[in-house]
Order: sequence, then C-alpha cells, then structure tokens
Amino acid sequence: MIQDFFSRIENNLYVEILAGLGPIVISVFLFLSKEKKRQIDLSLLFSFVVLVYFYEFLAIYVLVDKQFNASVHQLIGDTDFKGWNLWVTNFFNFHLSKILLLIYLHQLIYSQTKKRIILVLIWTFVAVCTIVQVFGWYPLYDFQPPIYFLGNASLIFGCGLYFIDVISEEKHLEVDLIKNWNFWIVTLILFQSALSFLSDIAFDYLVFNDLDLYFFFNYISMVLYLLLFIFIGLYFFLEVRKSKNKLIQNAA
Amino acid sequence: MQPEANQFTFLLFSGAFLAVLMGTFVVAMVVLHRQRQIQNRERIEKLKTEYEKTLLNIENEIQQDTLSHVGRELHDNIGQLLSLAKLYLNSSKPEKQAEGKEYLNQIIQEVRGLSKTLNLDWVESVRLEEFIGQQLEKIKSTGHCETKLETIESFGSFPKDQKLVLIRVIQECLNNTLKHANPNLIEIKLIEEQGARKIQIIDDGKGFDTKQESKGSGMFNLKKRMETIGGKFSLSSEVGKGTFIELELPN
Repeated sequence: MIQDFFSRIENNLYVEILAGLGPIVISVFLFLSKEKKRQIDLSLLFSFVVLVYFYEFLAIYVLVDKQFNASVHQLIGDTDFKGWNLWVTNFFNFHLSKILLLIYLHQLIYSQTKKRIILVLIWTFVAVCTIVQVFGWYPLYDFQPPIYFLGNASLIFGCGLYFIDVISEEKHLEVDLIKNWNFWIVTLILFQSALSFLSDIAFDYLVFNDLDLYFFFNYISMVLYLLLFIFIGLYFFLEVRKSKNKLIQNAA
Repeated sequence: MQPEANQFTFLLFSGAFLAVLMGTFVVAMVVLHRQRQIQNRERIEKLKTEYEKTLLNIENEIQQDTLSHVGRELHDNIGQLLSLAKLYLNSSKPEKQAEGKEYLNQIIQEVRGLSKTLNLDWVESVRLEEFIGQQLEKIKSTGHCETKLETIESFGSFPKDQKLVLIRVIQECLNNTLKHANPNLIEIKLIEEQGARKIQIIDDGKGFDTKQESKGSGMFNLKKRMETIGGKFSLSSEVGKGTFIELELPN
C-alpha cells in the first residue's frame, strides 16, 4: 500500500513539487516570531498551505487505502462505493479552502461595507454547501457544480472588492503596492479562481469536445497554485528576515 | 507524436496569453494605485493648507478681539484709573497721595493682566472647561441671561491648535446666541457618549427654522472649522423652542 502511495506521488508532477514546497513553506513559517505568527493574514495563509498540503496527500492516500475510503463513503452516502476520492477535493478544496481564502480577503479589506459583503458571501456559501448536502441534491462524493460555481464566483467577487479597496482606501494608498505581498497573492487567487471557474462551468463541454483546453485550465490552475505556494513562502521568508534585521538593529 | 506537439504548442501559447493578461492586470492596478496615491497626497496637502489657513484666521480673529478688548480696557478702566491717580497724586493731602499710589499699583496689576492676553500663550495654559466657565461667567455678569455649566472630570485635554479652533467655535456660538436668540438660560454640557467627547450648547431662546437657508456664512464656517480638526458640528432648532448645538470632538 505504501509503495502504491509513493508511486502515485512520483507519477504526479504537481504533487511532487508540492511535496517539496509544502515542508519548506511550513518550516519558514515556524521561524517567524510569535508576534508575526499571531498576525492574522500570515496565520490564515499558513492554514491554507497546511490545508492544501494535507488534502492533496489525503486524496492520494484514499485512492490507495480503499477500506478507509469506503468507510468514509459509507458515512457520507448510501450509494455504491466506486473508489472515488472526490469527497476529499470537494470538502477540503471546494468548501474549506474557499472559505479560508474568503476569510483572508475579509481581513485584508479596510472598508466596513465591503467587509460586510464578504461576510455575507461566506455565510451564503456555508449555507448553500450545508443545504445541498443535507437535502442530498449534490452529495459530497459526487460532482457539485453549483458549489464549484458559487465558491469560485465568491472568490472572484471578493478579489474584485479587495482591488477596489486597494485603490480607494487611504490605508492601502499609504503602502507601495509592488512591495505588498498580499496584493500579489490575491492576484494569483483571482486568476486561479477565474480559471477554475471557467473549467468547472464548462466541464461537460470541455471533457467531450475540447480536452486540450480542459487540461490547459487544469495545468495552469496547478501552476498558479504552486506559484501561490512560492509567494506565500517568500512572504514568510521576508518577514523572518525583517524580524531578524530589526533584532540586529535593536542590538546595535 | 503530432497531437502531443500540438497540445504543447497550445499550452505554451495559452499560458503566454494568460501571463500577458495577468501582467497587464498587475500593471493597470499599479498605475491606478499610483494615480490614486498622487490624488490622495494632493487632497491631504489641500486639507493641510486649509487647516493652516483656518488656524491663521482664528488666530487673527482672536487677536482682533483681544485688541478691541485691550482698547476698551485702556479707555474705560486704565484711563480712568490713571486720571484718578493723577488727581490724587497732585493733591497736597498725604492720605490722598497714598491713595494715588494705591491706584498706581492697581494700574500696574491691570496692565500686567492685559499684557498676558496680547499673545496666544494663554490658550496653552487654560483648560477648555475653565475657558467655557469664564465665558459663561462673563455673560452672566453682564446680566443678559443665566448660565449653567455641566462637565465630567475625565473630559481630557487638547493640543493647542485644536483648542484654539474649539475656543473660537464656542465663542462664535455664544455670540450668535446672545445676538439672535435672546435666551433666559444658556447651558453648556461637556459629556462623553460612546467613546466620543461632545460639547453641547443649549439655549431656551427664540430658536429658528433650520430649513430656511441662512443668509450668512457663519454656520458653514463653524461646520468647516470643526471638520478641519476632525470634529463634527450639528445644530437643531425650532421656532420658540431654543437651539441645540453639538460639537463632536476629535479623539
């Protein structure tokens, strides 16, 4: 089983790179000062990295450990177990990570009205996810197009609100945008969400008519996720360096 | 082999297109942000200039008032005292001469008091509550109307510039009340509500219809002056029911 697990990782370049990047980003975060670790944007990004790292490996693991997968499947549905791992991606990627990113956007925005809009988006998303699950309209082990649509649309809208906030709020205008890591991270989130949105909406058409385009969306989406990881890692690294420089300056 | 090469070319071009799109977006955002930064800086500069202008105007107004007050004091008080002193000192009676010397001492005290009001250093030393109390006391002593001051201990202090604006706004409000409202009672309350410090000026005078457009610029100036120090000015009044003015102070 373990051999199968590792061979599946070796066959997947995206997970392979993620396996290398994840521990680096996580360990850089651990070098941050306590104060910085408590900084809400940094801790949310860290949670996001841990979550992605966790579910990508869990998704591979449940493919190998069929018994465990079947027992979870039994818990969430009463249909025949087909060996799919879609529930992992649905729950961790399309539900949890979207909520986490929306919370991240919420705390980056200064305008109270826009903050309230993001909160409405979060609660609506949580409510829709719960309702479609409870009523069994779109079970967790199957494809959930309305949730994919709502999750990505909320993120795209949230990113839009953040960019409006960036050019209208005085506190954002005080900082240099190019040196603002959050801006780069939100830009990547926007493009990744836009691509996911397109590929999820046009999934049926692309799979049967233009598989190349479908793969393109997926590949680029993966590249953007990896870039997101790199940017988050760099953000953590520069914060560690900043803290160290401050310590040296104080000591001098 | 051919389909794979096609797929690779497609991915390459699509990826490049997306990268260009993303780059354009980032550049547009940065340019827009820079423009807004410049606009914001210009706005702050303008506000700063306006603030300085307001302060200068207020200082001028206070100095004008002070000069008028000094002129009045010299003519009505010190001039009279000097005449009396001259009269008594010219007298041959020693007790009158002693009284004349007493007058001279009083004149010296009065001149010292006046000289202190000539510059604006008193603004720094006086507390806002004290100043309001003095103003109300002055109004009461003229017999125009009764006055009342209510204050809380924790009202706190203000920087000189803010205090200067507040002093002038309060003076202006009180002048307007005396000039137009003919009140029996003027009450000033210094309170704290939901973390905000407020000065309420209440009178039971004639009041006026706030919907009618004012001919002068007094109200507009008061509002603008409060805004320059980050405060708020609000007024409510009804004919026959007096006027309520609230100055919300910056934290």
